Amino acid sequence: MPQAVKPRTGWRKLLHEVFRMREDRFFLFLAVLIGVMSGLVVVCFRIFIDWVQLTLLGSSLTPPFPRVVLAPTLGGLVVALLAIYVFPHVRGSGVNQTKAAVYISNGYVPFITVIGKFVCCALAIGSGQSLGPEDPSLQMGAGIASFVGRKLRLSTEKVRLIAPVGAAAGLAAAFNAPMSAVIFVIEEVIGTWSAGVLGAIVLAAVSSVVTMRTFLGADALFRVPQFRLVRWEDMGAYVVLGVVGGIASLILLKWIAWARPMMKALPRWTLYFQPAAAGLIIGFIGIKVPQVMGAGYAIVDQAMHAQFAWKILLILAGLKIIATGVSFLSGSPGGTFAPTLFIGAMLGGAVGSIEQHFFHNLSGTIGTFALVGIGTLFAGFLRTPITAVFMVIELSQNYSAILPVIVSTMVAYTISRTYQKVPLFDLLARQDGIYLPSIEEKREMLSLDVEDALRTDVAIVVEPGEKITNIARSAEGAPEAVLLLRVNPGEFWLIDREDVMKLAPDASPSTTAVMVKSKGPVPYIFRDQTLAEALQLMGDWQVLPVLSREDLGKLEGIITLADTLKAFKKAPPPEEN
Amino acid sequence: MASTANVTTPVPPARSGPRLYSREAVLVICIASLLLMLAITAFLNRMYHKTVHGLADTWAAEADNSVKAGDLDAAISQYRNALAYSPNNNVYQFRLAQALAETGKNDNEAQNYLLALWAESPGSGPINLELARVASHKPTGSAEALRYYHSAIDGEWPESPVSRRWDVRRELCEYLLKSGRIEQARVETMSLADNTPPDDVAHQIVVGNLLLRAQDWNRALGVFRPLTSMERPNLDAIAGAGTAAFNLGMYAAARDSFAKLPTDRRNQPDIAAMQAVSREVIAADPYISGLSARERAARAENAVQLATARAQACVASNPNANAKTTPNGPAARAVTQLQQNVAQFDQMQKDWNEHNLASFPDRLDDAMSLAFSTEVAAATACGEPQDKDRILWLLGRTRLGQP
Repeated sequence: MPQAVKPRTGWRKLLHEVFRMREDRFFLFLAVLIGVMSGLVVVCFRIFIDWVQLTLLGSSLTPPFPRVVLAPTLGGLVVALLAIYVFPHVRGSGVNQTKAAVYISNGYVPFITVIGKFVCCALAIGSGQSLGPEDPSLQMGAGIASFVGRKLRLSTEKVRLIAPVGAAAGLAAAFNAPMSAVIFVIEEVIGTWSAGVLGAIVLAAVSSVVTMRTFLGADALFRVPQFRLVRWEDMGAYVVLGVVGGIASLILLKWIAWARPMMKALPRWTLYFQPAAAGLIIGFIGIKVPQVMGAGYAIVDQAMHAQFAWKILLILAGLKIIATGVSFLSGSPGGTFAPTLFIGAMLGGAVGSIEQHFFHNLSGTIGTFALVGIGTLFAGFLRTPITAVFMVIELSQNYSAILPVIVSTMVAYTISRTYQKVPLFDLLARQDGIYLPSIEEKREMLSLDVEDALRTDVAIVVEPGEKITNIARSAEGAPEAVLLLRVNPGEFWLIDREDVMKLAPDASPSTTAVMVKSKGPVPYIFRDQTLAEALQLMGDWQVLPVLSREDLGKLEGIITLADTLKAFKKAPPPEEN
Repeated sequence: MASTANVTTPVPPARSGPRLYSREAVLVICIASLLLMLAITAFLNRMYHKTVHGLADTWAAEADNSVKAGDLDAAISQYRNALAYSPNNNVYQFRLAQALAETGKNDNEAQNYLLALWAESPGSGPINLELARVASHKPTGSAEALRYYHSAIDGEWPESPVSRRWDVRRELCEYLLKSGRIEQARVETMSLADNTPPDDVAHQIVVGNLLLRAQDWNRALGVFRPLTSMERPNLDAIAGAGTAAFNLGMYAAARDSFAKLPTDRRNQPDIAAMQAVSREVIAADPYISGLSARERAARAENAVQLATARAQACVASNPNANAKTTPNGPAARAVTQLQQNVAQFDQMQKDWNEHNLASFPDRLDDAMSLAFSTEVAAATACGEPQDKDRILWLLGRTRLGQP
């Protein structure tokens, strides 16, 4: 017996209204919900990291001897046990895991990973491992989004898209920089400015940052001293910084590329001790140089205020490279964003100090160089140059640094790209045996345009009133010609050449072109559109008219399926990495 | 392979069969979870901020104690710890910058903190003052230092603004004097004097001493003199008045002032030296009132003999210097003048005897005039004189109006 449908009342009615939204609108609503949730989780995560740090290392920036060695070692041991027995997916890069979720697992990020990242990363970073909270925050955001999306039974396509939305929210809250987070996710995770997901990503990032700021305050991550760029000649100093940053990025990248496979080849029992061994090394470094421990935001802040002389800055940068490499290679969960900022700031400060020693008239302060150094290393190491530029602006809340940052990041990026073909995240994925799409390759791949297959000499445009005998005469002299009937501007029909030739001898003088049109209207295209778009439009037509953008009645040429395929064949293959 | 890749996660198979929960229910659960998370986060956040601010306050209090104990290095490290927990606390930033500026070890860091604070309150007197101090440590920061000092003088002071501005201007005067910019120091000290109440003896004495260091003897005397005629004269004022009078060539006044000082003060090397010179100058001066004609003549004759000997010695030590070879050199011109003076002394030797000098005051004037000009020229050609020549030279400078 069929049950009578009860009318919805109260909250059920309201929720029903929400669900009656078109899925794309509901997706935006979810983005806000996920943004707020991710913001809250990141706030708790940061509090937890600080709490662990206070408990294990004490409140001084220079922890006393026994603690400085014991905390990271024992912390590493606990993290290893948790990673082996409780949270098996906690090791590895959060960015790659999120990318893998998008491209391989239809957006599936297990919720246990969120908990695992939260606990293990806080333990690792709080105990002094040289790692940062941004990468795990990104993955926690993606995990929350994926969980909510799955539970709400969104379509597979939407679940796949919602993970990057959460990733942007998590990263935005961790960095307190919504714009950079949006660009990073687009630049590194999705790889395309898809209108379908951009709005949701922006909404999630903004709502997560608003949430985070409600609790932790709206202050920028670093307090950047006042500065202004006075003269264009100063740009030379930032080019030097770009070169140094590029070389430092390469050192770190090459080291990881070389050492990670060796670490992975070690016997399985060593997994129990790898994070602890890394902790021990970092602890010993920390006896003399405790600044390299943990994420190191406070130290970056101090460097920006010119606390350290150039020699100290160089030592800090060098030791941080070692500490970060050791922590990362040991499999301790945590990200490389914060250490990258640290190394960049120290190198920037050192280069600035040395340059100012020789050129007294340089207008930038040490803080300016440290800030630009952050962007430089970020672009060189993580290979996300646009994110790097925006991040520096957001971190400094000052637009004046944009020119030095652009110059320096581009130099570092070019050096890194030239001497290390595979970017970090792709490298890690390939070492793990999976082949995620390389966003950098995608970004730099040249697309073929209609222009590359355009033919301007084979189309004969026919007007509706034109006599068929005249058309036949024109076609006779051009056996390859395609006959296109221009009915209206933008409306072209194909005329079958054989029909014309057949009908022409017996046709009366009043028989016009419009009477022999065969197929149409044919979809048209413009010369600046891509051949991929042309193929999509072409369908069964085999030929497309290429029209002028300023006059749809004007035919610039045609493209055929054969010419399009020929153009693809002729194009150089993508660079082999 | 030890560390297996955990990049990909096996996707659980899609559930078949009826849905367990409706979308509405899941959404309600989500919103309820969100509210719960909000509450938990708010609670944790409250606890966290309480702890963190507590830590910041504790470190800052320890730093304040270290500053009081004079352990600035410890204070700097403690302020840094405080700032790690309260990074935007302007008070801690300012105190750290103050400590850094005081040690002078890391002026760049101090300046960066101060500039950040300055950007927020450019009219703050204390911040401008600290910036001025930091700039004053730099070899090329004088213009910057002056700008910040003036901004501090014109700036806002939370407590006792008049007194603080006076202190800053005084510090500016000290800075200018230390850096050898006497003219600017004189101008600033005059402003300081204008802003010092006449009845504020302590501050008047500070101003007077600054004027002395700025070699503004007249104004210094003007500041000290009223203080010496008070019911209970201040010893510093008396010493200052004496010093100013001495440098103005008012040796009698200087001697009288120094005589009012107690013995221990009078025996201080600088005062004792000035007192001795004053006495000697007075003893050598033939123009002192109350002298007999004979005594006057004796002093004048003595002066002529001293000047002649000094001129001859000086000419002998500069045999090649004369106005013909180096016509533009002041030393050469002085030597030429000395040669002429020696010739004139030889010529007048007989005429300028004690008898004539006692009998004819105009001859005494001529003789003393030649003696004074000889000492001045000799000082130019051969350096400042010593002993009795110095006394005659000082006397001559006073008479010639060049104290």
